[in-house]
This record gives sequence, C-alpha cells and structure tokens, in this order.
Amino acid sequence: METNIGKIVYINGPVVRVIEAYDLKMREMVLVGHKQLIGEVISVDKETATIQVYEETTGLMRGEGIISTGRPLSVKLGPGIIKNIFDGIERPLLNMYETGTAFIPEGIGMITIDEEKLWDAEVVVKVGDEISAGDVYAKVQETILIEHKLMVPPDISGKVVFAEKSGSYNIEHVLIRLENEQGLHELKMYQLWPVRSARPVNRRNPISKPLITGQRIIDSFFPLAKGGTAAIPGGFGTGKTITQHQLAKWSDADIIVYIGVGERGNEMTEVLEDFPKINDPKSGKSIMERTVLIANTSNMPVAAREASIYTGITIAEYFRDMGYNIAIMADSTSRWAEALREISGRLEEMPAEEGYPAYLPSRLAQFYERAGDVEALGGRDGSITIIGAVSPAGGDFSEPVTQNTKRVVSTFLALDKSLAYGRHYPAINWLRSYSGYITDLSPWYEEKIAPDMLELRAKMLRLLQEEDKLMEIVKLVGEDILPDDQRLILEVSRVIKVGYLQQNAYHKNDAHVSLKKQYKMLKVIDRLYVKAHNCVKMGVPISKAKNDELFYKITTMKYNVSEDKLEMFDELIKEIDIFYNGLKSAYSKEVSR
Amino acid sequence: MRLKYLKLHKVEGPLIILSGVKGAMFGEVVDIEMEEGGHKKGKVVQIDGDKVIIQVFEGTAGISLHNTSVSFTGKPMEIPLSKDILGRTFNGVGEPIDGAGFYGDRKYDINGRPINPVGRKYPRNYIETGISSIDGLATLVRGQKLPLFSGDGLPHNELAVQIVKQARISGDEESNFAIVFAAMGIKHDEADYFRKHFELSGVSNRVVMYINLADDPIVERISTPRCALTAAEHLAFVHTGDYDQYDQL
Repeated sequence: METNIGKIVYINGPVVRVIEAYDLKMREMVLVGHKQLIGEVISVDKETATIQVYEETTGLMRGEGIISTGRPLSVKLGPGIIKNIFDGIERPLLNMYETGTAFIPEGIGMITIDEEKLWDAEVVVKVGDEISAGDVYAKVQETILIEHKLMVPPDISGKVVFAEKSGSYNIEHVLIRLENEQGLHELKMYQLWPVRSARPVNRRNPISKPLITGQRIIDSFFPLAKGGTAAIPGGFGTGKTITQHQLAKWSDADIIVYIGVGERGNEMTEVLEDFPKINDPKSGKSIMERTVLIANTSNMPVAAREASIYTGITIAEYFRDMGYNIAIMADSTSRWAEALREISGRLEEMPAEEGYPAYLPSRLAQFYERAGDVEALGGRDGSITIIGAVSPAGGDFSEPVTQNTKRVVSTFLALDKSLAYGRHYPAINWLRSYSGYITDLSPWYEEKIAPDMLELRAKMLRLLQEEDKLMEIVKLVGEDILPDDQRLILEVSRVIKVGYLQQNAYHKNDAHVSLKKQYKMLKVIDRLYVKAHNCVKMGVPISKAKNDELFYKITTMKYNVSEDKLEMFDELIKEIDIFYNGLKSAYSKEVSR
Repeated sequence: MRLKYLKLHKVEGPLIILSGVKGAMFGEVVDIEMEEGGHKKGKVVQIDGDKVIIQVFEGTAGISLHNTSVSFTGKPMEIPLSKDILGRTFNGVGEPIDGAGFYGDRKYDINGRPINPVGRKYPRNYIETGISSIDGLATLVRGQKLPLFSGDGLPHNELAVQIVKQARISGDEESNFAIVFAAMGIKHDEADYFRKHFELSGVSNRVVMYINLADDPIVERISTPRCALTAAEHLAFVHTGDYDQYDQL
C-alpha cells in the first residue's frame, strides 16, 4: 500500500519536513522526492511530519512529494544475510558495486537480500500440523557453517493447509500456508521485522557461559559472557579496531555481526580482505562463512548511521532465535552517538551534556539491553553478546558516551594510550578494566577449567596492583633501594605483563590461546613467584633468585609451547622446582658454613 | 528562462535569506549579481517554506537588500576538470587564479559520493617522502591519509613543501603520480613560498594547487578541500593516476 502524499516544505541536510501528510505514522518508512530517497518519520504534528533521510538530500526541492509505505523501517530476514556486506539499512554493498560504480549512488530504492538466488530448502512440516510462533517450518543450508532455520514469525500461529515440497526456491516462493481464525497466512522464505523493536522471546536465561575469545587478558582476567555486554573505550590509535577484529576472528560465537559505524572505509575493506583467509579454529572453515558485515563508513549519510546499529542487532536477534550464539561488534558507538547529536541538532532539540541529546542514555541502554542469553520462541536457547567500541575524544573517559555506556555494560576493557605507545598489545589496562561477570561465571570456570583458575587470576591481579603501587616509589627513588621481596614483585609482574598480558596477533601460537593453555601459563607464573618468594624470604639475594635464563624461558613460553604440547608446561614447572630447590639447598649450606 | 529574485529578505554574516522562492533545490548553487557589477556564488543550505537560506562564497560584503539579484542555477556546486589541471592554481571555488582561463570538457559535483567499501582495495603500497621519521615510523600509505598536527611558529610549511617535492611511489607507476595541494587560510607570502618552491624543484607540472588565502572569504574554506578532493578523485579514477593530498588547516 504505497500512496503519494505530502509536500516538502523544509530541507536541512538529512532532516526534511512535509505538510499535508495526515496519515503518516511515527517511525514509518517513506520514500522522499522524485529520486525516492529512503527516509523515516521521526515526528508527526497536526499537519506536518518530520522525516530523516538516509541518503544525500542535495538536489531535493520544495514541493516534491513523498510516498508512504505504511510500514516501519524494516529489514528482510532470510537466507542470504551471512557472508554479505550491507549498508546501514540492509542494502547489499556488493550488489551495488557490481552495478559498475565504485561510489554509492542515491535513489536506488530499498533493495536488500537477493531475491533471485535459489536456495535448497527442506520443508519439515506437513499438512495438518499445528505450528505456532517460533516453530521451524523449513531449513536451508545457508553457508557451510550456518544452517538457516525458517521460523514462523512471532505473531502468527495456525494449522498448515499447504506445504511445498522440499527443493530449490527463491526467497519470494511461498513454502507454507497457515490457517487460523484471522484467515490464511502465507509464509515465504523471509520475514520482515521493524529494526527498532526487539524480537520477542520466551524468557531470559541467567548468564552462565563465558564468550571465549582466545585473548588471555580477556578470558582469564576480564571475561566476556555469552549474552553479556562489553565496552572497549580508548583514545585514538590505542587499537580499538584491532581488538574488535581479534574478537571477531577468534571468539567462539556461532555468528559474528560486525557493524562499522562511522569508521574508516579502509577498515571495512581490511575485514573484507582478511576474513575470508582466516580459518575458524573450531570448524577449520573460513570465518567469513559465519560473518555478517554492516558498513556505514564515516562518509556515508549520517541518518543511516543511526539506523545501522538497529539493523545489526535485528539481524543478530533473528539468528539468535534459531538457537545460535551471536557476537555483535559495534565500532564505534561514539560515532553513532554523534549521529544522534547531529540529527538532534538539526531538529532543534534542546541539547544536554556536550551537545548530545537528553535521550542519549536511554538510547544506549535500549541498544545494549537487546543483548542477552534467552530461550527464544520455539524453545531454542540462543544468546547475543554486544561488544561496543567507544572513542572518547582525547581519551577522556569522563565524557558522556563513555560514562553512559559504563552504566549499561558489565565488562569494561579500558584501552590505554601509554600501553599502546609502549607497544604493549592488546593495550588493555589491567587496573582500570573490570568484568562484572566473574561471580556469574565462576561455576563454569571451576568446573570446565580448574577449581583454582579464579584464585590464580586474583593472585596475579593482586601482584599487578602491588607493582603499580611500588612503581610510584621506584619513579621517585629508583628500584635499588626496595627490599628484595618487593623487587621480586616487580620482576614477576614484568613476566606477567610481557609473557602473559601481551599477545601477538600475528604469531601462530599466540594469536589465540585456549583456556587450558592460559591456565597452565598462569600456573607456571604462580609457581615461579611462590618458589622465588620462598627463596628471597630465606635471604637469597634477588640477583640470584632472578635467574635470567629461567625468566626468559617463562616469558617466551607463549611462543614456544603450541596448543598440542601443553605437557611442556609441566616440564617448565619441574625446571622451576629444580632450580629453586637447588638454590635453596646451596644457600642454606652457605649460611650454615 | 531563469527567474531572478531582486529583493533579499535578510543578510547576516555569510548568509543571505530570500523569501517567496518557489522551486529551490537543496544544495544547489546560486548566482548572485551585484548592481555595480561582479558576481558571487552561493549555496542553498536550508529551505524552510518559501524561505531559502544561502551561504555566500566570496563574502557578503557590499550586498544590501536591494542592490542584488539572485538566480538559481539548478545544479549542485561543480567544477570543471580535465587532465590539464596539472600545474595550475585555483581558488577555493575552483576558479583559476594564476592569470589564465580554464576550460574543462566536463563538470564534476564537488560533494562527491561515499566510496563503497566493497570497491576499495586495502592500502598496501606506500608513498616515499624521503623524510626518515615519516617513512620509517609513520609511513604514508597509498590510499590512506596522514594528518600533520602543528602549531604557531612550527615549520609545517617547510615540511609540506618537502613532502610535495620528494614524494614518490615505490614501484613502476612513477609517471602516473600526481599531487593535489590544498591550502586553507594561508598568507600571501606563504602561497608565494609554495609556488616558488614547487617551480624551483621542477615538480609543479604534476601539482595542482587549490589555495584559499587568509583574506579570502571564510566560507570558501569549506569548499576548498572538497574541490581538491574532487580533483584528486578525478585524476585518480578517470586518468588512472595516483594522488597524494595535503591539507593545511
């Protein structure tokens, strides 16, 4: 039901006002002007309506009409999403490129997932079955890794009166007809869903599983949870994007939705070039087979940037309903908040803190709260983890976007400029970061990894904190005057920092590390500290207790021990024991003499 | 026939406001004709009912509500471009300021369009500047950007000239390398300094300059980098060359 209504009277960048548009609804999608630019209604008055336009408005004239589509801004959810790259409103960039221009043209309309492509669908219900919302009626092998389950949309249920035979169809083909009191419903291979409303679920599950990322500082110190939220704030050049890429590459989620919000075009290109070459450690298949990319780079229209985050999370929710674990990377939510600010400014709304609109905190909360571990309609368990990068100007974490994000996320991975400049990667500051999931996840760690895993974590963090305090003194008076047990803390902290927290994204043994190896590494470092500490307490001077060769060996164990030779860690522990026991006996002899 | 509007509603800073306008296009360029002769250009920045707000390039000095006529061109801001721009100097709105005229067979919209990330290639080749601290530590990569931060009294102009003079591409595409130099708000003597040094070092035939001088209208500074980028895109994609771009803010 598309009708021509209204007349444009006001144009200011992406904000357009129309009169004589009586039937427009809030959040309805409209086509603006003769070029049919895509827009969304953001306010309605007695006879005027305000529209934000998702494309460049240059060339638009007063008096041009708009077309009402009668439905809210929605995305098409069906096979063809995975492996694809979309713009902020789910238009495929690959297909746009294939039309022959390296630029993004305006007015190409609401194209979305491929309607021509044939998919092998296996219909799993038969005539006479009663099916309700969330039930699977057909399956499509979308990529090697992902089986796409076609589900009955949330508000429909009924009796199957027609079921198509399994076979190859395009997404417009009707597979199932359902009958209920309201009449007949046709189910095709896709469903439409408005991006701004969360898809309904049966219930939320408590958080119980970590999202394993293969990154040591995250997995063992500041874990992410499946269904949880995390923020990665950091100033320019601290490696937010690299950290996000690492998480996208190595985390054990089934599907990754990567949203490039207002960041550089070259970064999306990097993802597009790199991801097909990297194999998923679990399946051995290219990680592109489980990745969806959404790109609204810094030079694309700002209104679509605001929508891109919702498009991404809606796609994620759809796959979550199939029973998958999804991780969403949003890089960066600051650019998204700036888009909100720009549009709010053009609407002449009252600005709040630093010019951001007063509703910034609630919008951020709405977005992050769509994460969760849930039982979806149809009884499948799935989860969405949101990992948002935040780019505070000047690296100042007290600005509104970081502060408001902090309120709604539970894991906070603070990136640090001085670490990044000191070539300590990932530049996550261990003193300022935190994870609120430790208590929720401790049963999992104790059962799956080792009972003392979290104890080791606490010990290491304590050492690092101690070291930070000692460094203040060292800065004033130098390291030499410290007593030997404190100098040992400095030495062991150095091992933790260089040998454990630093992780080389380009080394084959170090790019991602299993939790087993992480645990063993912690164990080795802990043994080193305990043994050396004993010796120092006995009066062994630090110059002897800190054996350069041994320390070097432990610092480089991350490179030298591969995942299939974890028993080498036990040998290392033995070596530590032998060395310090020898030192102990040699020293006690010396004393008694 | 083009309508001419003879009466302005309001003049304020670099903006003029017209009322009673039908058919204005958002972003289109307007021609402003002064009674005592001379033309100015402007751009539609807001349409509100029959009121149109126009941002005037080249400044609003001398404009009163009655002495000026405004006509709408129906086109967004465009500049003529061809391969002949190499070696020439233009102002912030793409008009030649080196004393000769310029004719390009096609005109290009300076607002550009976003590049599709799918169509990009990840930057791999680098641009050699011959300055060891740049090449070694903060390498300038082809298809990337590199900002220089500077303050008063620091020799950023010298550095800029040095980069332009020495920049080369590794590999065999040497002959296709061009430099688009945009300078915003620089002083006359600085502009002379740039021009002289480009000529002396013999690179001026592969340099295009877009210069907005310190006493030129401020609003032109908005369009200066856009003109330069459009020129650069033109050279890069139409004449399959490569470009390097340096902005001074």
